[in-house]
Amino acid sequence: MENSNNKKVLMLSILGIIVLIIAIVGVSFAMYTFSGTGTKTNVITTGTVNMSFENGKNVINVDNQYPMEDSVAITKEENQTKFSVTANWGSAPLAIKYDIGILTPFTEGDTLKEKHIKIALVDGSGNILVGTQEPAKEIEAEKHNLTGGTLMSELKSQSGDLIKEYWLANGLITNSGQKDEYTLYAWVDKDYNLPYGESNDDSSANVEAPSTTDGNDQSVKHEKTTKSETFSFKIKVQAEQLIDED
Amino acid sequence: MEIKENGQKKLLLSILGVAILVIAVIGISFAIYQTTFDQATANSIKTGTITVSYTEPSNAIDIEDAMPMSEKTALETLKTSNKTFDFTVTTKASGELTVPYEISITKVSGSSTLDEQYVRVYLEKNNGPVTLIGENAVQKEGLYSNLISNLKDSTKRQDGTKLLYSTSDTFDSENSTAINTTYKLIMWLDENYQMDNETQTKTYKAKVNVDSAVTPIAQ
Repeated sequence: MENSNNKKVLMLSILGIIVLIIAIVGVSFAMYTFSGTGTKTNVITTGTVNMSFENGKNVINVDNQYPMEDSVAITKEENQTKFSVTANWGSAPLAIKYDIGILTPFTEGDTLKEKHIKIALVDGSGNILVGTQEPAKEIEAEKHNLTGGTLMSELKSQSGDLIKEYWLANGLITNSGQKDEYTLYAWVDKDYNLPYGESNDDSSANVEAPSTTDGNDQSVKHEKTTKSETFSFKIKVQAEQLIDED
Repeated sequence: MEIKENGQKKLLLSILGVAILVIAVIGISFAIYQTTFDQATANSIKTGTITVSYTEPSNAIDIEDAMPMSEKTALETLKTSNKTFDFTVTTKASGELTVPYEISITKVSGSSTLDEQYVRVYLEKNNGPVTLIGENAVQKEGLYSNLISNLKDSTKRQDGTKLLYSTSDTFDSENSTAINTTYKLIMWLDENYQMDNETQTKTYKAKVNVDSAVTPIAQ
């Protein structure tokens, strides 16, 4: 009889321990499990924005240019270059603002400085963004009323939202694929005096002493030659997505 | 225990709320997309060069015992005896440009005792005569020469210098070879000069100048 009681106690103890173990770890054991893996993938893909600055016509690359009046300069093809600003993205509603300016530093000559270079900028609709123009009148297709340029030195103080000096213009791209076109003009201003290079007199022939001799006949040669100088610069575009603050 | 846990939860939520608020305030000014790009190749402007030279001979005109003579006689005798002043003007431009220049004659003050109204000059350009334009007198038909006193004043010099001739050489991008022009100057005592019983000889001395001033390209 006592043995039977002891057995019951032992069984209950063992059962209790088992229950306790199950109670501790067993909560993770479900009597019934189900696992179903979805076959449809939910996707979020970020949009890409691709902007480019395309030089249509070759860059301005002029050799042997002389100072000229604005009225002549704006007619010369060699003084012009065309470029465009474009952006492509997906279908998301997006707007990108950009500034166009002159990249600094640029390269000046010994005497050919920014105050001797004139700049003009016209957009694809014929609007004069930099330069002088005739009084407002209807602009013919593919024409503009540009009459002159602005000295580059005067552009140093021009500032936009993104470009803080030598700012030329700004734009806003609101549609993917939109392409904003521009024509840039640059030339040597009429007030630049060509510097002299080697010379053997001051261009006067009234000299008492011969300055050079030529062979046996002792003739006298007076000569003055100007020196060539180069000015170069690049255009810069800085862009930023326009955030709707509403 | 429960009160402490609640306190911690409130603290965490507060911190989270502040963080969200900070991001909401600052986050608006951060653009999602920004870019900068520069033109790949620089725009470049290189200025052209200009050269003007004047080459004069070693020997100038030096006529002693000059007698009045007509243009015809002067040209015949003075040319053959090499009593001429032959000089060359050379111009060169590396680009499209017109290079003007003028040739003038300046009396040497203090050394000239003969009035300019009796000195006649003649100029040839590349072996062909140039008509010397005068201001005050009618040029005789068929005569290329002129009295120095009749010539216009030089535009480049202010000292009484007289303009003999002005011209220009044109260059374009396809033709930038130097242009050499040869000139021959002849001077003589004009036929209308009255030789009287002069006890002292008179002389006229002058120098030839070449001046060039290139202006900016205009329409």
